[in-house]
Amino acid sequence: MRSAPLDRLERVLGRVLRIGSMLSTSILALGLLVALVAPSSAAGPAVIRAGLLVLLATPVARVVTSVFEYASDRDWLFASLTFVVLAIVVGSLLVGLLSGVRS
Amino acid sequence: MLITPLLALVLFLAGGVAGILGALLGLGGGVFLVPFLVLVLHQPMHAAVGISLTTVIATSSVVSAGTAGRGLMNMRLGMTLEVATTAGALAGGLVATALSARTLQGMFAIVAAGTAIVMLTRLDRRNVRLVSAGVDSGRLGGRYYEEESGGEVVYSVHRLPLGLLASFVAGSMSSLLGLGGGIIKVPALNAWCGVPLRAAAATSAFMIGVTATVGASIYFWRGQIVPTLAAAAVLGVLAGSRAGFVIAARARARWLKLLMAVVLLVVSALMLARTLS
Repeated sequence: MRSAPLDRLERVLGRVLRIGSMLSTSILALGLLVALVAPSSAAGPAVIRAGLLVLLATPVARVVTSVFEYASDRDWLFASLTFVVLAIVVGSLLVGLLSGVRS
Repeated sequence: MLITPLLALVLFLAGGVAGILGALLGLGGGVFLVPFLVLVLHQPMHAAVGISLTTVIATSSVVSAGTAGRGLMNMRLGMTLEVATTAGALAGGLVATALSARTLQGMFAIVAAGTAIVMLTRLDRRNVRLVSAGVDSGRLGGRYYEEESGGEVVYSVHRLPLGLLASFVAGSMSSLLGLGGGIIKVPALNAWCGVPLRAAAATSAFMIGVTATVGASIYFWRGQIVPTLAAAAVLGVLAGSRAGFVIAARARARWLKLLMAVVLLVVSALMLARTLS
């Protein structure tokens, strides 16, 4: 049998992903519209960058939620596994920032 | 970069086609979008990979939000394999910054062709391990209701180390080539670990979001993602994958694999020609 906490986790993560993707696509659509209406303005790309940040943050929010959900279920193995994933994502952020500053 | 309405429309439509194919094949669409950006729109390979990764993230979030609660994706297996996919993505992202566009394009051609061959050789393989309902699916296994057969499919996961290895490779391919990585994970999980094709595809779609985020954040912070192109591509892919997802629910596994192989062979030949020219 599928356990109740597992079904709940799936629903919670589904909601996080739905909110994040709706928010990011709305901002991206708005930014693209601005970029098309005012091609020479920096406003369009700036709004789109904000949308891309929300897009990137959505899976990260999903992983953070997983860590807390597994921890509250006292499922330490999966809390640890998801935490390692979170640490790797944060590592990639640092790699990008550091190499972006240097180049 | 200035974006004209025509360019935005072209990329939106190309993203739409990539989205439909991606949803049908469980690939995220990158295998189609990267060559389009490079061959047709003459974008640098690194920019194409970065843009493609943003569409992979969007597809994963939307598709997984839709499948959540249906029991098709295997969360425990996914979260276990994600450790390997994200580690691979971090390694791949670091390597990608040091590799030339030509090298990456050559790798893209080889990976696309290799996967096509794997799919063609496995067209008629019976993939689903049907276990009687009373049998334990194990800690990482799963079960789901299959509409076509009208029965419950129960499976356990075999050879996890092989699944982890394939996931690491898939993750590094994600960052290097702008793919979801389902191109490697789905056949591997299916053939080596005994996960039914549909469950493998749904689980892979769940994993590629955070995996692509690792690669995309490296390209994003390095300033290699052109915002306007990324926005047009993401919106196009999402529109396309919505359409493709509806079709995929009714499509047969054999037809999916055949289509996947043909698409990959064409893409591979085009990218190889580009690399050698």
